[in-house]
Amino acid sequence: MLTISEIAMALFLIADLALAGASRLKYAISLVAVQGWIVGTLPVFLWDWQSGGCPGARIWIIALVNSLVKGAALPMLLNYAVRKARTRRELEPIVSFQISRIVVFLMAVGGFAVGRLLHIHETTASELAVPVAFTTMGTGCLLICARKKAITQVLGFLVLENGISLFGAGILLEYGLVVELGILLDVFALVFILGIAIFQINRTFASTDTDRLNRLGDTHLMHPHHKHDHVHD
Amino acid sequence: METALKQLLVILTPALFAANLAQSFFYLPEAARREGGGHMPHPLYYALITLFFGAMMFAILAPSLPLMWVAVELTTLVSAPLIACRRDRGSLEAMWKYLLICSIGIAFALFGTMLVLHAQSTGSARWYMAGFAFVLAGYGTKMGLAPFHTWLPDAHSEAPAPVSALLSGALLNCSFFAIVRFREMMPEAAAPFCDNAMLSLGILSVAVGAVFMVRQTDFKRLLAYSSVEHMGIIAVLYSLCGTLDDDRIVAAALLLHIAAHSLTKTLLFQTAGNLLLAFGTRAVSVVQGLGVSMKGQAVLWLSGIVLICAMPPSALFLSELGLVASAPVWVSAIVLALLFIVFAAMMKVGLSMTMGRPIASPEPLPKRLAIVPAALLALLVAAGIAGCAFVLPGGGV
Repeated sequence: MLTISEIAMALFLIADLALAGASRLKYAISLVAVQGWIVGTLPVFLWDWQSGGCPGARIWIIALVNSLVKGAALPMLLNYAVRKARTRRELEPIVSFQISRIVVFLMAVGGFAVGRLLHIHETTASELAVPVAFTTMGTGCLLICARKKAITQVLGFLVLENGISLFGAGILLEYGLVVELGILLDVFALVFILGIAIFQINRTFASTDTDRLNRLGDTHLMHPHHKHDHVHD
Repeated sequence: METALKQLLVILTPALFAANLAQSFFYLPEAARREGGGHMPHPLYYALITLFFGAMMFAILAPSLPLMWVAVELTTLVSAPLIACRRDRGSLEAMWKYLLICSIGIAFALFGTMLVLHAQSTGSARWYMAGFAFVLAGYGTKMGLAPFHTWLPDAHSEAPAPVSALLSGALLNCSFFAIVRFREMMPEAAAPFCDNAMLSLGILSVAVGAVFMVRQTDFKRLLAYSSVEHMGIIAVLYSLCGTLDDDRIVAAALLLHIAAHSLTKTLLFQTAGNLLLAFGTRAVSVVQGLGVSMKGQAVLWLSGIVLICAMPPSALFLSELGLVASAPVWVSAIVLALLFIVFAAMMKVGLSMTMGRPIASPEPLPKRLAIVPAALLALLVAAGIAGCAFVLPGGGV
C-alpha cells in the first residue's frame, strides 16, 4: 500500500526532474521550496506511529523549524535577491535542459541501483529515501555546474543540502535538537551572505553571470606575455 | 594523536589570533588610507575576525562530530566577508569562490559524517570507508588538499594580510584536525584505505604546490601554493603515523611541522601585506631590489622564505628530516624531489625580490608594521636553533 512518505518521495523525485528542465528562475525556486517542505515534514511522516505513540516535542520542533526555514524563509530570501539584483528571470543553461533531464533520470536509475547494492532498505525507514537522496544530491551538483547565473549555484547548493537532509531523515539519524538547529542556522546564514554577495557582484560587475568571475587564476602559465595583467589593479 | 594535536591547536590558534589581531591594528588604518575608500567598516572587521577565532576554537573543542561540522561551516561564513574586505572585483570573486567551493565541500563532509554515524550502528567497514572518503574530500577542501584546493590561492591572495595569515596558519589546521578526528575512529579493516587516501592526496598536494610555484608572478599566490604544499606534507606525515610500527618520530615531526608552518606562514603573509602596501602591487616583477629600498622588509622576507623552505635552522627542517628518515624510500624520494622544485621556485622569487636594483620606488612604511613579523622571526630562529641543537647531535633521527 502506498504510504504518505512514499508519495512524498515520489514528489521529491518529480521535483528533481522538473528542476533539471526548469527554465524560469521563479519556478525553480518554488520547486526547491516544495522539496524544503517535504524534507522538513518528513520526520513526522517517517515516525513509527503504531508502536511509538505520539512523537515528542523534539520531532515537532525540528519539523516545524525545518519546514519554515527551508520551505518559506530561504525561498523568500532568494526571490528577494533576484528582485534586488534585477537578475533576468531565465536560467541560462550551459548544459541544455533536455540533456539535464536525461542526466537526472540516469542518476535516479543509478541511485536505485546503488541503493539495492548496498542492501540499504534493511537499515532505513523508507526504502525510497536513500535512492531519492542520491538523485537529489546529483541534481544539486548538476545545477551548480551546468547553469550560468550566480543565483543558480545557490539554488543548486540548496538542492544538494536537501538531498543530504533527506538521506539523514531516511536513515533515521538523530543528532539532537542543538545540532539540527545549528545546521539549519548555517545554511540560512550561508544563503543570506550569498544573497548579499550576489547583490554586490551585480553592482560591481554589472552582471551576475559566473563566467564573469574568472579574472583570478594562474594565467601566467598559459600566457607568459600577459603575465602581470591580473596583479596590477 | 588526536589529543596531542588538540592540545597543540588550543595553544597555537589563540597565539596566531593574537599576532594577527595586533598586526591588524597597524595594518588596517594604513591599508584603508592607501587603497582608498570602499573598505568594510573597521569595527565590523574586528567583530568578524574575533568571531572567526571563536568559530575555530569551537571547531577544535566541539564535543561531537556533527557539532564540529556546524563549527567548521561557521568558520567559512564569518571569514568570507573578511576576504572581501576591500569590496573590489577581485576580492568579491575570491569570496564567492571561497564560499561556494568550501560550502559544497563541507556539505559532502556532512554526508560523510552521516555515513560514519550510520556505520557505527551497523559496524560495516564498507560504510566507514565510504564515510571517510566523503569526509576527506569535504574537510580536505577546507584544508586545501589538491585537487580540492582551487579556492585557496584566490582567497589567500585577495584577503587582507592578517586574514590571509589566519586562513593559512589557523584555519587549515582546524580542518586537518577534523579529518584526524574521523581517522582515529576508523576500525582496523578501514585503516589501510584511509591511510592510502591521505598519502595520495598529500603527495598530489605537494606536487600541485610545486608546479604552480614555478614561475609564479604573484608573491601572495606563491605563499598560498606554499600552504597547499605544506598541507600535503602534513597529510603525508599523518598517513605515515598510521602505517609505521614505531610512529613516535613521525608523530613528533607532524606536530612540529604544524606549529612551525603556521608561525612561519604568518610571518610571510604579514611581510607580503607590508610589501603590497608599499608597492601597491603583488607582481614579483615590480617588487625588486628590496635590499636597497627597504632593508628591514628585505630581511624579513628573505628569512621567511629561507625558513619556509625548511633550511636549517628552521624547525621545518627537523620535521621534514623526520619524514624523509622514517618514510618508505619511494615516498621520501618523491617528496624530496618535489621539495627541491619548491625550494628552487621560492628562492628564485625571494632572491629576485630582495637583491638587485629597485624598479619601482616604494612609498615608505611606518616602522610599527614590522614589529609583529620581526618578533615572529626572532621566535622562529631561536626555537629552530634550540631544536636543531637538541635533536641533531643526539642522533635521535
